[in-house]
Formats: sequence, C-alpha cells, structure tokens
Amino acid sequence: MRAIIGLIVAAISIPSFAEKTFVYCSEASPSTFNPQLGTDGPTFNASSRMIYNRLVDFKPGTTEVVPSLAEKWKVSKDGKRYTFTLRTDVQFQSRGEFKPARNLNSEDVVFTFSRMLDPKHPFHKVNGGIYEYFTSMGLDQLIKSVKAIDAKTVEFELNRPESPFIANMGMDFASILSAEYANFLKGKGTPELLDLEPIGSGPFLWKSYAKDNQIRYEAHTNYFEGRAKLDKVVFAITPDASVRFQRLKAGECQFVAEPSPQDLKVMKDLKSVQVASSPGLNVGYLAMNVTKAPLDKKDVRLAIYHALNRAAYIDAIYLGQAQVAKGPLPPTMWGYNGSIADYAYDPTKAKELLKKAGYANGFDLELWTLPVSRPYNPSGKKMGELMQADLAKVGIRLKLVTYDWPTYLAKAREGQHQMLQIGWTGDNGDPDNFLNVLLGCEAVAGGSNYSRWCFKPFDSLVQKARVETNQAKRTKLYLQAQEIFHQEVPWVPLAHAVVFKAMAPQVAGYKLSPLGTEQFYLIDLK
Amino acid sequence: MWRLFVHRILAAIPTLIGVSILSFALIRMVPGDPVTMMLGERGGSPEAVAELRAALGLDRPLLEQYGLFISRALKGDLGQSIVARRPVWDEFKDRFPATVELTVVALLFGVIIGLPLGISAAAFRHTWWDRLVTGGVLIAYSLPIFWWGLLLILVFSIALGVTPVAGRIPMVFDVDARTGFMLIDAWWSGGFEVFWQSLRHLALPAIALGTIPLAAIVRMTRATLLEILREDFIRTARAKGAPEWRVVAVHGLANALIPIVTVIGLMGSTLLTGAILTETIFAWPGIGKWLVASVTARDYPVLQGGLLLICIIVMSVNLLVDMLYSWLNPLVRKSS
Repeated sequence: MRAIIGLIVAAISIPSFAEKTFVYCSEASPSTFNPQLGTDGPTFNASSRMIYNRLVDFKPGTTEVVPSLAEKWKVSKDGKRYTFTLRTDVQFQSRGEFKPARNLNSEDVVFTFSRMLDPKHPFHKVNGGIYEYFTSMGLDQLIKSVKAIDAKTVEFELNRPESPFIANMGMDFASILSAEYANFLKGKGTPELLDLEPIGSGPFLWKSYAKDNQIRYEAHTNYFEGRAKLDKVVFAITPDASVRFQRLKAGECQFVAEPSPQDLKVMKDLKSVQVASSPGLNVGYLAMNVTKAPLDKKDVRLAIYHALNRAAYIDAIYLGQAQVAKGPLPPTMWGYNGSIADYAYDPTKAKELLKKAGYANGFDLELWTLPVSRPYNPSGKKMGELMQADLAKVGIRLKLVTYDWPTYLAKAREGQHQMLQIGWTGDNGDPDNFLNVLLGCEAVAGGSNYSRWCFKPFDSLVQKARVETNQAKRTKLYLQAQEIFHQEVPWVPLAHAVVFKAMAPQVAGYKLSPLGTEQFYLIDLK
Repeated sequence: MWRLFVHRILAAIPTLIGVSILSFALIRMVPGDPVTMMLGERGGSPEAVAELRAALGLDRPLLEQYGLFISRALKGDLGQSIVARRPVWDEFKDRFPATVELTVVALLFGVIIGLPLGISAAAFRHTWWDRLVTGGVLIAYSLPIFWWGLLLILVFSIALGVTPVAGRIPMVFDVDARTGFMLIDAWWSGGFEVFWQSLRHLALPAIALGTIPLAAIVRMTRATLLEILREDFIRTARAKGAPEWRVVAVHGLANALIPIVTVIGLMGSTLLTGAILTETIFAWPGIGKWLVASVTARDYPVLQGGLLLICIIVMSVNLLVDMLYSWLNPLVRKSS
C-alpha cells in the first residue's frame, strides 16, 4: 500500500511528467448517468457537472445565474417567451466509435426538452419514461413548447409567466444531451445507452463504470471553457462515512462525500485533511399540522415556539455547525428578511399562551422524529428527546414516534402527523423554491407543505412574486410574505446547517456550491 | 442419489411460489412506494404522482401485477429495476461475482484456519491450548461485524499500513471487468502485481466475514471429534498401534467431516446472502448491499426478482451440500 500511495503522491507532485488523478470517495452509486432521470445527489454528482452543461449555470460557489451554453437570453414582455442564443463553439465529447460531426446547436436543446415533454418523442420511453424531478417541479405543465428558431436560437413558450424559470434552466435535470449521439445509438439499436454510457459537452468524459465500485472519467480535451487541470477523475463508491474518512487519511482518496459531523473535530486537527465549509442553502424545521387540534390554534403553535430552546440544539445536534433559523429562508438567499425579531426561548411566556388558549393543564401531542440523518438535521431522535424535555416543562406531554424513511414520507404527505421534523435543501437559489414549495396552498395537496398551512394572504403574495419579473419587486413581496409567516407560526424554524467538505491538503481551487451538486472542474492537485 | 436430486427439485417448486408471493406482498404492505422515494421531501401534485405511478404500472390491480411478474419470470424476465432502469438480471449479474468471490475466500479462511484449530483443540482437550482456542472462538463468534471490520481497518490499514482501507483494487489501475471476479480480472489485465493488490484488498473483508464461520467450524470440529474419539473403532485403532496423529487425523477426522461439511454448506449460503454489513463497511460491490438499498428505495422489481434468485441459489447450495453429504456418507447414499 505504501508503494501505491508513494506512486500517487509521486504522480501528483510531478505535474509535467505524470497524470493528475483525482479520487473522490462518494457515498452511493448513481442510478444513471443522465440527470434528467435522477433525483438523488449521487446521480447528480456523477453526471450533471462532470459530463454535461446547461443553458445557464450557477457561478461556482454561489446561486447567481450566469450564461453557459446560452451566451444570452431574452424574456418577452408578458414573461411567457424565453429566447436563448447558443454559443457556437461548444464541442461534444467523443468515445469509441462515436465522433461528433458538429458542434452544439439548437437541435440538441430541443431534443433534450422534447424527450421529457413529449410522450410521443422516440426517446421519451427509453429507460422508463419517468422524469420525476422535471414533473414534480411542474415543468411539464409550465412549458408549452420548445422550438428551434435557427441553429443557434431556441425559444421556450410557457403557459404562464414564471420568474424562477431561468434558474430552473441551471438545475441538474436541464443538462443538455447530444441529439447526434442519441441518433447514433438509435441507429445501432441501443438507445438505452444514452443514459448509461453518456456523452455530453462537459469538462469530463465518462470512461467506465463498475457497478457499486468505481466510475472513471478523463478530461474532455476540447472543453469549451478550457481543458480541466485534472487528467483523470475516479469516483470510489464507499457507503460508510467512517470508512470514507479512513480512506482519506490513508490517501486512497483526495475528497470525501458527506463527512460525518462527529468526525469534523478530528478532521480539523489533522494535517492530512483540509476542511472547507459554507453556510448551507437549507432549513431544518418543526412542521405543525394546522389542520389538527390543538395545533390549529395560533397561540398553541406560538407557545411551542417559545418553549423550545433551539440554541441548545445547535450545540447538541449540529455540534455547533449551524445557526438558529428564524424563518423559512436561509440568510444567504436573496429576499431573506433579516429585520424580523425571532421569538425568544421563554417557557413562562409559553405557559401563559397555553393558558390563554385554554390548555392550562397542557395536553398530549405526538412528534414524528426524522429517521434518517439529513444535512438539515443530523439526528432526529436525539433532537426529539430534547424537544420532549423542553415541552414537558410547559406541560405538553410529547410522544415520540418514527417510521422508516419511505413510510415516514408517505404518511407525512397524507398529513397523518401532528408535528414532524423535516427540512429542505434549495434546488435553484430562488426564494420561490422555499416559500412556494414548502408553504404554498398548492403544496398542501402535493404533500410538501407539511404544516398543511394554506393561508391566502401569504399565498397570494408568493404567487404574485412568482410571475413578477422585476427582482426588486419580487424581493419586496417575499419580505412581506415572511412577515406573515412570522405572525402565523406554521413552523418552528430550527436551524440552517453549515455544509462542510473534507479533502486532502493538495486539493486546490475547489468551490463549495450552496446548491449541493459537486463540481470538480476547477480543482487542481498541487 | 438421482432420486434425491429429482425429489428436491420438485420440492423446490412450492417453495419458490411461496417466496415469490411473500416477496411480492410484503414490500407492498409497508407504506411508501418507489414514487414516494423518488420525490423525497419534495412531494408532487396528486396528478404528477398518479402519472408517475401509472408509468411504473403501479396503478394496476395487485393480482394483475403479480400475474405479470410470474408470467415474465417464467420466461426468464425478472423485470426492470426502477432505480437503475436496467433489467434486474443484469443488475444481479454485475454484482453476484463480487459476493461469490468474497464468500469463497472468507470460507476458505474459515476452513484453513478453523479445521486445524478445531482438530488440535480436540486432540489436546482440556489443556491450556484447548481453553485458549475455545475461549477465543467464543469471542470471535460474538463480535459484531461492523465493529470488527472497523477495528481491522484501524489496526491493519491505519496503524500498521499493511492493507488498504476499502475497495477492490487501487484506483490507479483500470481493470477491465471481464468476469467480475476481481482476482481473475486483475491477473488477466496486469499479471501478478495487480493480482497481489486485489488480494490485499480482499484480505480484511474476507477475515471480517470469515470470522463467524471460522468460529462455527472450530466448535463443530472440536465437538464432533471429541465424540468420535470416544467410539470403539478409535479404541481399536489405538489398540492395533496406530500413532496418535493418525488416529485423530485419519480415523477421527474422516468420520467427523460429515457434520462439518454441513456447517460449511449452511455458512456458505448464509454468507452469499448475508454479507450486507461487510459489503457496506469495505465498499464491496455485492448483492447484500444492493438489496438493502433497494428496500429503502422501494425498488419492487429488484426485491421480487432478487429474492427469487437468492432463494434459488440458497436451495442449489443446500442441494449441493446434501449431495456431497451422501457422497461422503455411504449410509445416506444407500438409503436414498
């Protein structure tokens, strides 16, 4: 082993002679190599920003939308027509028999979206015909048509104006495929390989995948933003977090996915590990089902808010790697209302409120605790016990309940709970992605409004902001909406967790994305 | 022996039907379906959920879904994984060699170390050596694998640096997966050097997984040998002046092998299906890990098809053991 590490170290320390191989210890296998078909982090990490590009992208390390395959775009006055002008210098990768004869053009964009939109499209049914992310964001209902005006111009027509649309075009599922490659595969009678042996325009060319074991990539030499500094990237799939950490220490990988918060302190003290962190675009919260008594009473919800010592959870549950949340939006997002004063931890006030609501002797209540560790809440059970103790002090007798994750989600979506722990990580950096997805009236039926709180004054502000194209005006609407949220208390917001990554000291140039999907293009090995 | 074979094959049919019904029904009885898991925290409008369910064929009556599963399975089509969007058989085929490789090496480890330990413990019964072995085996038998695996990593990979932490091969080698058995593929693509590396990667997981069979083999060997060494024919062997090693190793062991082979066979089929923890810790791409991930994802076709395949494998291994047993034991051979 020493010899091998020696080899690797030697290889990366003499850049002009040897190849730079970057090994990433990932947490799980991707389901496919086409982000259109995925919903999970491992699939996106292995495909979206490795193999593909999108019309627009997020500036590395931020949620700011910047041009990518489209060099510019225009929005019509009514907000329903988006016209993108494509770059003409974008080359697709080649592998084996497939050698692209042309650069990216509007045909590729139309192909990509028609595949998801049109049930009669020849590739719609290939590999299942399910585009769950696209469908669940309602884009199949939003996009009326996608047309090529000429080779470098594409026009999207929407059924209604929707401002987050442009940010949606930077999301993983909007990755642009090669229509030429699709036709080549169809000609060979193997259309299914489009999603399994991918070709894209992105910084790395996919070479091979050994199931549950490793994925290999090489730098795409003709990448339009310049060839990556790394020559090879290998994903070493390693499901156990402590084993990933050991592999990082042993030099078997240079970057690990999902480091466990418990290891963080040790990692920070190690010379052989470098830690990067950034405030995450997430929120962990306690959803109170407002359709179930006694949580239908605002005073009761506010009493629970006052009774919970949330600052203590930051240390005990997040090990200090989070900040107390006072609203649904993370502070790093535009439209965040920082002027709202949070409700303080005040058990006496809580008791008064309960008395006022007619519950002087308290009541019994059920809390569902999160059965899995999520970035927004690493330990639901432990947090549930703390909440139980806090609420007991004001007379609320909490019963803790939990289910396995799929059961939990299924029951929660039907609104079977009284209170439950849940959370959210943003998709596209737009406030609509929090306020509408988690608190809008439509989301009650969709299941992601876990408080089942449909409050017209709030909803109308959010819907108005959704179709408004002027960002200053949108900001104003969102600030107001957050005031209403604060007054009505459908949740107890708990925390915005800090996201952190662990890597070897020789890794340079890495930019931590608040949106979650990893990007290794900018990395160099010193 | 052929009658035994035919008899067992016929008896397997109702078992397979039972397993197919159970694996089909149980996973559907728990709340949450593949669509729930695809959508995660996000949810989706009732129309979108209905659309996704229809696309997966989950909106059809249960009886129809089961009928479809069985009629396809009879034609050798186990359906398509919802997560991976590939045929269940292909997904299985890609992972099974890794599990077999790990199981075989773990069993070999158990047998090679376990047999001599068991024999020596019986031969030197009630000495300090016997006590050491039986005591050690008791500890080995009760080790939780996830703890034992991590301990092995901490000692051998981190403190001593003699073995790799996890995986099947160093990432600098690009080994072409021709057979799926890394030891063979490694030899093929890079000769002894790469083979040696893959063997080093196999060492810790095989030890971790092989510890329990090792303990079982030691205990079984010792107990059976002790019993046999009290038999009359052993006394006869000693009386005619056979040296003690010959009495134990030839007369004794030959007769003790039958229950030992049974234990090894049973362990083999358990390991083939139960290496879940070991596979997870050592990032070993086998079928145990695959099935557990499929339960969480509610990947119905994988669970239905995968469990059916595993059932067939376990029954085949058991049949093989029984046939070996009758070959080893003339009494059974005659009576069947």
